Amino acid sequence: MELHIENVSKQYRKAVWGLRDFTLRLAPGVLGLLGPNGAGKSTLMRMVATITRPSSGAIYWNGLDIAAQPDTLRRVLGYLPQDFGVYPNLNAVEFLTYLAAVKGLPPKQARQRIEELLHLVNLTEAAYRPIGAFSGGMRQRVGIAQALLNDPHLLIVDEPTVGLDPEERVRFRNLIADLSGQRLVLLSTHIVSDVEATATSIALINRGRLLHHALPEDLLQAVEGRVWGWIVPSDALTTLKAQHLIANTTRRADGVLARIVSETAPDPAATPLPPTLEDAYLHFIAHRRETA
Amino acid sequence: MNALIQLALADFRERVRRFSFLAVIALAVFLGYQVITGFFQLRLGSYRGILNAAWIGALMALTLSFFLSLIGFYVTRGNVQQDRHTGVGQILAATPMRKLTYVLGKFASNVAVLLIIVGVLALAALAMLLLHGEDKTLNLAQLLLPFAVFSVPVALLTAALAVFFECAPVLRASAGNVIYFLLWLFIVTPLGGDLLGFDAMERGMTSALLAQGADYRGGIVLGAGPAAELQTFLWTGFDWATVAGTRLVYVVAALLLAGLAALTFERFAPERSRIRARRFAVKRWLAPLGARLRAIARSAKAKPFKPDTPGRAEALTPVTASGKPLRLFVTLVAAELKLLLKGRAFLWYAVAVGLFLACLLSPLETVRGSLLPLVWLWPLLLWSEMGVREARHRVNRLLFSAPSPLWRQLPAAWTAGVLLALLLGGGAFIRLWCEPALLPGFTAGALFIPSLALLLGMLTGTERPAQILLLIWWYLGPLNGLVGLDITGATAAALAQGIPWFYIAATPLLFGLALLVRRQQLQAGH
Repeated sequence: MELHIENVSKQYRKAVWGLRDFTLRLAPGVLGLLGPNGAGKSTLMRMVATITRPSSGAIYWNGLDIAAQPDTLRRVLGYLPQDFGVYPNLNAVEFLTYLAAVKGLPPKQARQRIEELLHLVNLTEAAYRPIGAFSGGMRQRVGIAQALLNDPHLLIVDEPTVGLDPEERVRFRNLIADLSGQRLVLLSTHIVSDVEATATSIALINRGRLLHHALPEDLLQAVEGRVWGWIVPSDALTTLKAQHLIANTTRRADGVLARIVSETAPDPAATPLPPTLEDAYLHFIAHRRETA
Repeated sequence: MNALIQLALADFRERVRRFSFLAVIALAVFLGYQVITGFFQLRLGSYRGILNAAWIGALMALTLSFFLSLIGFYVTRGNVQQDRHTGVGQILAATPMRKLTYVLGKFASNVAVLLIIVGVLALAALAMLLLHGEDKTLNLAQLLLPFAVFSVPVALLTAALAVFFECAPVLRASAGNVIYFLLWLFIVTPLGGDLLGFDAMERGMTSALLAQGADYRGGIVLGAGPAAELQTFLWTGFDWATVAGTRLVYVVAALLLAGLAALTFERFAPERSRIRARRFAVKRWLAPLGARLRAIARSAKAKPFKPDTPGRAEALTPVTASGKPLRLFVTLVAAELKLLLKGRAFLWYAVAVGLFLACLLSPLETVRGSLLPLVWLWPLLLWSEMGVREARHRVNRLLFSAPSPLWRQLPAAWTAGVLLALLLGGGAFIRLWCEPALLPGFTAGALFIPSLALLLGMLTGTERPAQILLLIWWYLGPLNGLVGLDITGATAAALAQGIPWFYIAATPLLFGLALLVRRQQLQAGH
């Protein structure tokens, strides 16, 4: 099972690129896609999901070009788009039954799978209520269930935890971790902690280009010794933000603890801190901006 | 006031940047062209006016008023609904903005759009005077006054009606499109001579004709026909002061109607609507019964699913793709049929059953001539959703990433549409079975109407074109016996000429075009 994205570009209009010269080779596991708004994450996911075609380059699923033979991938694809809708008059069972038929599942298998999936996403109690009356988080869970209907080998989830409460987010993270064994999961999100909890590798994207593809521990290693904690007075914070890349601030009785990502110590009073993925993400994105 | 202006401006900008606005302008240009080339004529019996500024202005303005009162409604309708769909409405509802401000802002935007159409036709009038005028004297007052006095009030009233239909319960639903068409057909067209300006023009033109020695007692007619056979007379315009008062009443009526729309507007909180509340109440009453039936259905299964632990991904039963394409297709058709039928009001089903029974019990001639056209009209709102629903509810990406998006879901949706026709027309079918000569009409209705609705829905992304076109078709063909448009063979002449066979033959073409549109959508990544 292999997904090979080879030199893929997507041009929307003249000089407007969604993705440029993007190359990535993936095996089973969870790939966390991280990048700022407009970085090209959703564009990449739509192309892998066979919704849009690359302007140039090719995407191969187990060696087959998905632009030429999209159904070979679609049969084993689960896709949760960032912006998807539902038929509000149908209940969750009816909606999933409909999509199961669209995906080509035998009715008997589909019935059992739907019951199990509704249980998995904690919607059993609401299974027969019209989806139009669902909260945003419940709809999102219906979306997650539909992506898993056909037991996908490739699961693409774009901002899957948007609208989920903390408990459901943890449930989803566990679900992704459970699924990752023999599958390839593409997980796009702004929430670094979601990636931190589940990803086996991480791709950093900015302005349509791949900045870095590495194991989480390698990314952490790259910023080792570059994260600092410095307690400053509250009124100095604005000046500090203008001078340094601040990952986080915490109010304390003696001032504000600023978490700073910097090549060197911002001040002799600053102390080194163990890095997190969020620090690494900020470091690479900011570094790219400086070099651009 | 600033809020109103900004609301209207934002709405107007949003509209004019859409492709559909270009289509509207193209339609206005086409209408102007038709008048310029003499397709539409104003005539008083065998007379017409000399083509001078006054006559051309009147001709163009009356033609515009007539079409604006119908097309203008459908062109401007939809801006409040869009705010509901995009969620912008909820943002606005959470601001101190007053309902009246919002509604008047939408009304102003509607007016601006319609005034652009008026402007296009005014330019067309100028072009006609310069190109085809028999008296090319450029009298701008005579040329443009009919637009200001007649077309502008019609534009205002149409814009107000559009916003009223957007806000009022029941009317704001898709059914409002059909209700407005029927309102226009049976009230505005026969009784709206004063509103559209025909009465005032007729008075002025007739008196001018009589003053020039003609003996004429009839009315004024706007229609198509050759101009060469008509005698001409000189008409130099109307006295606007005699009609200004009445026209002002229409302007005030438009503003009042827009204000009335604010009273019915629910400020994007659907639960405030009493009708919806009643519907929910009925659902609450029916809910326990539904739950009981589902429980019975579930208990009948061999292996009931009884989760007692939190779900785990490893516990999911593996699935395989179906090796029985026919069975799969039947399942999908059933799901599409459910999509068509679910969520309709109880009244819809009651009328459908009533029509079915009426077809079974009525004389054959009544079934063919009256009931069958009604059977094909009743599911119009359902059929018009075909091809639109996927994009409207943003389900298309889920469908397009599934296997065979071209050959699986779309044929199933089409089959469901045809099946709906067969279900509703079942009563008629049983009666017609013993009269094989009448069956082609039935078949044509069942195949052609859903196919056309599907194609139009996919092409335009909205229900309105299918609703309007099929209503006009239904009115002119089966109801008024215009042979070429009599899809279902409601008239003996249509059956004798084999008209239904043409529509049956057109069905594969329409379905083929729908497949091409879907293919294009897939390639474009919509």
